Amino acid sequence: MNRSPFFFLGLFAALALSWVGVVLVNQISYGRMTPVLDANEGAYFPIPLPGTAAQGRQVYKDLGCAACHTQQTRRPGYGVDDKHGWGTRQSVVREYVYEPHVLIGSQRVGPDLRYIGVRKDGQEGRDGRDWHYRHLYDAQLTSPGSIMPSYRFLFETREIVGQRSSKAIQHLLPADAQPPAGYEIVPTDRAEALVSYLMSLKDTHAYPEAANIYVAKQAGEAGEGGHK
Amino acid sequence: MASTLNPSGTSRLSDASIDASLRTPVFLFAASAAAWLLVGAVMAVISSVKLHAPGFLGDIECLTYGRTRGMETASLLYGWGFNAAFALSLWLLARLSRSLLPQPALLVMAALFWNLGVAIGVGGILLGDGTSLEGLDMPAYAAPVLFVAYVFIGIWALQVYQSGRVEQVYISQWYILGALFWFPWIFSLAQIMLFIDPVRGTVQTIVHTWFSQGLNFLWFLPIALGAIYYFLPKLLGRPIKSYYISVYGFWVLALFGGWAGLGRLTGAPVPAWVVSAGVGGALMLVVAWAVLAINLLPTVFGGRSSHHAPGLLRFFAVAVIALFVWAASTIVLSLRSVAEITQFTLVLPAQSQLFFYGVFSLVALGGLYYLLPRVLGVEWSSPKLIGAHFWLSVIGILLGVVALTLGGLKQGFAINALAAGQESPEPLLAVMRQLLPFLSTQTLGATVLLLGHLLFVINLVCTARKACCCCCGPRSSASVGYTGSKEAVIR
Repeated sequence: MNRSPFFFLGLFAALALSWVGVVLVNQISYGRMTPVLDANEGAYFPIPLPGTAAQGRQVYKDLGCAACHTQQTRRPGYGVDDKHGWGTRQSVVREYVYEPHVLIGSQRVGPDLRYIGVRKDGQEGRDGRDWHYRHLYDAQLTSPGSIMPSYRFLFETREIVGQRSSKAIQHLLPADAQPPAGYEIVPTDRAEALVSYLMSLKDTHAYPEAANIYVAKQAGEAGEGGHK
Repeated sequence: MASTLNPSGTSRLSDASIDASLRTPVFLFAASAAAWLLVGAVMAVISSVKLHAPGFLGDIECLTYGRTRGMETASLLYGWGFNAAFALSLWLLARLSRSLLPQPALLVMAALFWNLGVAIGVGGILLGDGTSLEGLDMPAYAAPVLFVAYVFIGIWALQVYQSGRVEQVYISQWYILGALFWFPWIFSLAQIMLFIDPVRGTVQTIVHTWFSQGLNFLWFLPIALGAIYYFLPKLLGRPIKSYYISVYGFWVLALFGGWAGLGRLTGAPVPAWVVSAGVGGALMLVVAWAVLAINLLPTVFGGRSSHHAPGLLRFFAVAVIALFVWAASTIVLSLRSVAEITQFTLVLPAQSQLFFYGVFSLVALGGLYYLLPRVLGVEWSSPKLIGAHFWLSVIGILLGVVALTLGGLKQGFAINALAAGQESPEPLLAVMRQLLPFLSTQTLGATVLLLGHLLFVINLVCTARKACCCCCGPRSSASVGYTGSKEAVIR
């Protein structure tokens, strides 16, 4: 062992090998993946997020929601994500091409949120938005026993001046959470953006590559396993 | 050849003069490390409590679980971990190369700059600018400060190595130089590909995983191994067994360390071969673990030592045991059938804690306890506090790792399996409620760790004051360098 420059060359080569093999090869092979045209629907998928939802993604990031929630569902037969209702197929790479910062997460202290927009769609009116407002205001209202904290700082209790706001949510809350007389509880812009983002997580489009994912045969399931 | 077997080496330069040249920057790195360790440990307790008592500091926006967790990770990794690694690396390189540190004032500036970068980063997370990417939690605007500081520190370390007067290079230097060389590459590439000019879609996930796992395998692990290879023979008074094969272990780690962590992406929306490559990398590292086992286990357990230094030796002995348990876990958890159950559960933070606290931090603490008296020229203020810190650290790590592992396994089996005759699994909400005892135990572990680290900081402050009094007061033996007995220091 001596001070040969070949030592540093070796260090560089070893690291370069993993960077080329792991990162560069993937960047070349699918780093320029584009949305796919569905001729039947006459639209490209995935669909870019509307402005408010895109702002909500920023709120999702800055509050650190990804510390407890994943946004990746595994294929049926590998774990039971589908049985939890978290998704009927595996999340595929194309779904993420419009995301400026991909946050697939690594912990499920809370449920997977990749398709939360589908699960809550139509629930409790206003396309499920009310459910999210109640959940963010106090998770115990929607999920008793939940270990999700309250995000009341995303709501504002303010004096009613003139007409009551159409965004007020106190009618969704129990008696002990009601504001004083003459006051109302309204979601802040950040809360609205976050809920818009959560409601936008519903990309269940049947991407062509999703058809090539191996799915193990479920017990008692009729038909062939394998590719599906 | 003797120098390769005995890391102490011989030279005209005395240890005292080398240590004296390192005094200010190494102490600054160590003191910063201790401060960040305390910040990280406080954040760890807050984060842990929040998991089972969500109302705790619940309505404070800047202290959501996601942010406290990010601040905890950033403080521990970049505050404690890097500062401690810099102190250890500089001291080990100088001692092993038998060289003096040139221009310490500039290195002090770099140390201040590094800590400024970490403070900006942690403050950024507090204010909501975090990235939510584990290991890269700090906002991108902190990165240039960190990078510039790192370049200075790296150049200084290289300078110390290059000006060495010992022909032979010991394996510790290989590991430390490897880590110092690799980190700026993986850090800058990750910053460019994730924040400056982000790659598209889940290529980001691959870059992030490559970086975060590289941080373990190509930074913290090599630094820890470099220190273990130095301190074990030093404290035991006997050479590393089968030293000649250690170089093979190094190159296997260099080649496959960048691949090994990708097994974590099992089931993720990335090409399947990436996961296979990760599993392959983890399996190839068996060679590195085997080399380490051949080198280290007979050295640690090879009969009674001629030296009596159980006080610091136990930091390294426990770290070696933790290293092999962690190494086994990297292989087992990368297997698809196991990952099906353990993925997304508390088993993963348990594994991270085992490595970061059980391996790296214990080695770093043992190393700092060894080198600081030599650098400062005074003995530790309270040797008893060192013992208390060790036991509190071991108890805290055990409580946290065991609680999270058992809780994670319970979580994994419950949410990933269907009971006989059931159409749907147990709801996650019900599963998480069952984990509350495990999460509470984890909080207890984090609190015990915090207490231990507090003792470390108190001891460090008292020792620094003692050193200051010796330097500023009337001329004493300490003012001309460390002269205390080895028995007194290595307690």
